[in-house]
Formats: sequence, structure tokens, C-alpha cells
Amino acid sequence: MTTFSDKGAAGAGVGLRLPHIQEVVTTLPHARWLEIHPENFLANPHATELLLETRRHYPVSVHTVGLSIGSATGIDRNHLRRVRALIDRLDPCMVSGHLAWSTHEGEFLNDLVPLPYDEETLRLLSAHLGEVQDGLGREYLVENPASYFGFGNSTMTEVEFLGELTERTGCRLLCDVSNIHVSGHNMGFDPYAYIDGLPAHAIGEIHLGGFTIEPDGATPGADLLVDTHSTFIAEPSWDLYGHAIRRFGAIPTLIEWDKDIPALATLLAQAAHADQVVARSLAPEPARAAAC
Amino acid sequence: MPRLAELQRKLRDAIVGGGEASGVVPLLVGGANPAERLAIHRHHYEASLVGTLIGKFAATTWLIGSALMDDAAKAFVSRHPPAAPCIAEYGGDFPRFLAERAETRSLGCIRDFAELEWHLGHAAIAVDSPAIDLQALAAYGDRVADIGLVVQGGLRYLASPWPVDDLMRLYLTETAPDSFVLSATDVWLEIGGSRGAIRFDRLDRGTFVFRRALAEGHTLGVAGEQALEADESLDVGAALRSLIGKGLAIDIRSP
Ligand SMILES: [Fe+2]
Repeated sequence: MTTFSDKGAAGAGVGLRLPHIQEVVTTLPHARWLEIHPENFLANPHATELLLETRRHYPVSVHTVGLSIGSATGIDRNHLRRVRALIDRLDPCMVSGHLAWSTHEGEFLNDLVPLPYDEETLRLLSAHLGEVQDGLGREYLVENPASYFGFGNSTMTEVEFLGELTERTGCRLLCDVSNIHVSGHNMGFDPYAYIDGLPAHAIGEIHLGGFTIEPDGATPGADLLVDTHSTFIAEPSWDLYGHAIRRFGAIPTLIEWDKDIPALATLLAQAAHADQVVARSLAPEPARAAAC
Repeated sequence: MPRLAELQRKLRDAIVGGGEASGVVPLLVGGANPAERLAIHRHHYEASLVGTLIGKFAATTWLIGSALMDDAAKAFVSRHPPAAPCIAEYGGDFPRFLAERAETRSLGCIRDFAELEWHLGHAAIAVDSPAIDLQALAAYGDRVADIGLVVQGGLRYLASPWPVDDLMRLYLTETAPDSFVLSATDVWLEIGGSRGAIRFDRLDRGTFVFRRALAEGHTLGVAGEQALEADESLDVGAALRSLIGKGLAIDIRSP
């Protein structure tokens, strides 16, 4: 039986989604750690009961999709309290959310919408991060978004914005490598330079997820990468992941798959592959060449 | 209003309502025509929430047909965005919306049928707690009328002038005939469930009123009065023993 006595995450974990939770509780597969979206559990007592049973055997990370730290109209304090209550029961190894907004005056848009990167947003995010971390009683890692559009009046790049945010607030980052690849393609920046520009000391977790390639309605004849989390991790993301690991070290990494969810074994195989990429990327040069 | 709040309001209008995001598009960058990129968020908002409603109201979709359901769900999500990030809680107002909509209001039972389905969805994810027994009430002696009872979390109560439970059973058992005449009949339903199991049972009117009043937080005394108003022949003591005996009460609200 796989039982973890500590609460730390190491290596590659997988997202625990509702279709797999009964299987995980029953079979206790070899997963190094699991990540959940609290919004899937807060209104679901049966799933929460199974999650608490799961927690006895695995480290669990909590990744919020509804806290909306970028909302100009403020944080949803009721939601913050509900997430806190779940966190208190779970004692997760990490808590994270997005550099984005999804709530406006009490309406939830069920999506992560981008922010302009300027001083006003920086001040807002800094204040909201403090409120969230105080409200949760935990460190809150901030994840870079997948972008399809940006704002011409931004006064800094996303990397500069994240660097400034970590500097001002002391927060750490969740580096979604696939989002960097997706945004780099869609917005026309170099994803390797983006990773080189992030503050390495601040990276607490990495995400890897699949994207789909669709025609870009904005540019006839071009393709757009859409962050669907509905398929296997693509080769360019694995390459970029190797680069990130060489720069940041062996950071706990999550395989994200949220739509068209495959068999649990498929997710675990992707996690095992991530562990292999880490081993290869951190091996001394000759071994790295031999592995290729 | 701060500049960012105004920007987000306009983006919200474009994403939820499909509007033009007037004044926002010139600010966007991304491809030759960034407005098309904004449409990705609009599409995701609509598709994800319409999919959620169709998933939650599968029986209702069976009753009214996919085309009507799709149109109704699209109209609902553009007029009633979720009020909280837990999407499992989204859609409670959809039965009323269906009943007010020109295309579906002629189906008299639509609201109650959809509400029954909503309650069943709630019951399926509930978890039963250990029940109390009659002994627990004895300590209150003369004051027993002043206490309330906490009932199992999955319990819901629905009264309807239509036998929507019969219709739901046809759906759940996949035994619907080619045509089915729904005759008006008052039904008082108790819906319950735990850990994936669901049930819905007819109650007599007095028992229904008694249990519903307790579920709404009224005291035993008030619940008894309401039940006797509904059915003066009801044996309130027997109704209480039945409720406790079925394991429906899990705690006591002291006076
Ligand atoms: Fe991610």
C-alpha cells in the first residue's frame, strides 16, 4: 500500500478529478501526490468524504480556480472562507491559484481572463494576495496564465510583472510550462526567454497540461493553441519542461487533465514520464547525451 | 470607478452577453484581429455552462427535447451567470426560468419536473449522518414542542399538482411508452439520498407538511400545527415516531 506519512509533494503528481476519486480510494495506485480543485468539492459532501479518505494516503495540493485575485471588484470573501474550511480539514502540501480574474461584482465567469500588466494591477494583486494568504492562513502560489490576448496599454511584460509581484509580496510562483508554450505561440514571445526571466528562487510548483491546436480566427491561416487540458502533453512542452528543470531544479510537477479525462493509468504514465524528464535533465552531461 | 474595474465590466459584458465590448477592443493585442481572441472566452463561458446545465437536467432534456433545452440553457447562462465558483451549485433557478419561457411554459409540469431532477442531483451527492433515536427527545420533557430537528442533508420536499414522480420513473427506468398522458394529481414528495443512491417517495399531505416544516427549521410545535392545518386527522405523535424511526433526524436544535 502506498502511504505517505509526511505532507510534502515531490516528483510528478496528477490531478484528482471526480471520475477517478472512487478508483483512487479503492485501489490506492502509486501516485506521488494529488492536486484537487476545491470548487469541485465544496458543494459535494460525498466527494469530500472520499477526498478526506484519499488524503490519508497521499499528499494533496489545493489549486483554486475561483478565488479571482485579479478582480477589481474584490475577492469573494464567502468563497475564501469556504476554501479555508476545506484546507483546514485537508492540511494540503501546497495552495495555489491564477494570475487572472474570473469574478465581477458577484458574477463568476467560469474562466480565467487576462489582466493588463501595469502599476494599478500590481497594487491590486499585492493587496489581494495579502488578503488571500491571511484568509487561508497559508502561502498561495500564483500561476502564470495561458493567454489568447493581452492589453496594448500594459507597461510591463508578464515575466516582469511576476518578478515585481514576488519582489513586493514575497509570494512564490506556480510555473505552468505548458501555459508558457501556449502563450508564447499565441502572443509571439520566446518561451525559453520567458523561463530564463522568471525568479528561479520563487518557483514552488510546475504544471504541465495538454493543449489543442485550432484555427486562429484572429489571423487567417494561422493556428492558435488553446489550453484545454484535454489531451497528452505535447513534445514542445516536454522540451520546455526539461529547460525549466535545468534552471529551477527538481520542482514538484503536476499533470493537468480536466476535459475528456482518460483512464487514471494514462495520467500516471504521463507523471512517470515527467519524472524521467527530470532525471535526464539533471543528469551530468555525458549521461544526458547517452540518454538521448 | 477605477480604470481596471471599468475594463473588467466591459469584458464581462462581452463574455456573458456576447456584446461588442465597445471601447475595449482597441486596447487588446493578439493576432491581426484580437476581438476574435476575446470570443474564445465568450465561447468557453457559454459552452461550459450550457454543458453543465444539460448534464444536470438530463431528464428535463429528455422531456422537452435537445433543441429546446439547448436554446433555453443558452438564454439562461447569458441572463443568469453563476453567483459563486462552485458550478455544482449553478442551475437552481433554471426550473423557474423554464416555466416562464414562452417555448416551454405550456408544459404545465415543467417546473416541478425540473425541480425534482435538481433535488435528485442534490440527494445523489449527499452523505447520510448517524440518526438520533426517540430517547434523545425524552430529556426535553414538557419543552419538546420547542425543539427543532436537524434532518439528513440530502432531504428535500416538493409538492406538485402533477405526478412528476411517475414521469421521472419512466425516464429513470427507460420505460417511457410512445405517448403518455399526464393527468393532474396532487403529489407530496420526499426526495432523499446518500453516497450516490437516490430515492423519491410520495407522502400523505399532513406528513409532508410536518417533515418539510422541520426541514425548514421550524420547531416540533410549529411543524405539528402546520401539519394539522393541512390534515386535521394527522396523528402528529405517530408522524414524529415515523420520522425518527426512518433515521431522518440527525440532531436536535435546543430551544
Ligand atoms: Fe496550470
